[in-house]
Amino acid sequence: MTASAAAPIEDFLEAITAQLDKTQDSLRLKAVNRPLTFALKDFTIDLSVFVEMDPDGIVRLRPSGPNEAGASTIHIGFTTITRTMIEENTISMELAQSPGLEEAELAPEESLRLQRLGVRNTAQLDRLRAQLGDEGVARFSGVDPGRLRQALQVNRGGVDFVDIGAGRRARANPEGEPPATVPIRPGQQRLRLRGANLNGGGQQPARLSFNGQHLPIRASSFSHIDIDLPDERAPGANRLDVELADGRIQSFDLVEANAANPTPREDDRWSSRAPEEPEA
Amino acid sequence: MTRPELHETLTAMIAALDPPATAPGLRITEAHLDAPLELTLAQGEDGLTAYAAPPSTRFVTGFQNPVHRMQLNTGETRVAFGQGGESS
Repeated sequence: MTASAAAPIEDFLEAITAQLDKTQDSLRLKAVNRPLTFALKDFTIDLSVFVEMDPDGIVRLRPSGPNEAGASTIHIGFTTITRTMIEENTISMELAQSPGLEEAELAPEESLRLQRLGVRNTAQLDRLRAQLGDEGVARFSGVDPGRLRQALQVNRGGVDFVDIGAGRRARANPEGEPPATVPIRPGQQRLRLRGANLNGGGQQPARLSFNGQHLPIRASSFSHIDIDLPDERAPGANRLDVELADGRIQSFDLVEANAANPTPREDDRWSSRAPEEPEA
Repeated sequence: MTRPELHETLTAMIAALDPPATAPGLRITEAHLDAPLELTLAQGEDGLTAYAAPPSTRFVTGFQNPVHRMQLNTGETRVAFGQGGESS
């Protein structure tokens, strides 16, 4: 076992909370044979530590060693909380799925500056930008507005696939191209749209319409939207529009296979062109 | 002697609250422990690990780790397991 080393505050706290979790687990195992056991309610500790800051600006704590004078005393308290309190006070699972700042190609120093504002991923950056604007975020974080806009491009998201069922899926067309054709079974009720940031980080879900009429969402998350198609459908192609949180609209033409419109050829099932368009 | 991990020390402290078999009428429902602790952090098998134990001596020396102070609150709780053994 090596001597105590300086560790970032979060690692320091994680080391202690991991031990408290193991303590709770041991006490619970004891309850297998005894109906009553003790539960750890609160744990506080006054630690004599030296506070250091490394060249990257990260604060580190090191427990004091023998005969070391001038240490600070840090008072840490741990208590048990319910799941509701955890959900109220921590990042939502929806926001946690969005790309991190590293994936947005921000420099480490830029990421650190944004972390000091409570921003750890692009969804949180987007939410902050909605409140302050590009210039406001840039002024508080010291990050260039152009770099912020570039980072937010990573969070745009959108629909990538439409799950038709039986393991088949139709790919969405790139922006600027005509709507993708999605072959569906006659009378098919349910579809699943797959992609990223489909619920606007949990703040602003996508809005769907079927042939211009609002279509309710049955279930959604960061990466999927489940819908129930209405029974009344026009012959031929039915237009499904997906309006995303940033205002972009992705469109799909749902085509039923029937006697008048036989099942599209195998290569047309995954084609990005509408059937009536001429071959390239 | 290798210092035990913090959870081993805390579990032993709390387990010590069980009344002895010679006193079946005694039942402890909650306890507040205020105790000194020697704590160090080091890289263990699972990453940064906290090792802690009561101080080995009451005397202040120039070559032993400083003693920290901890307070621990614990209370009796009933666990909804179907099989039971003897009641506490």
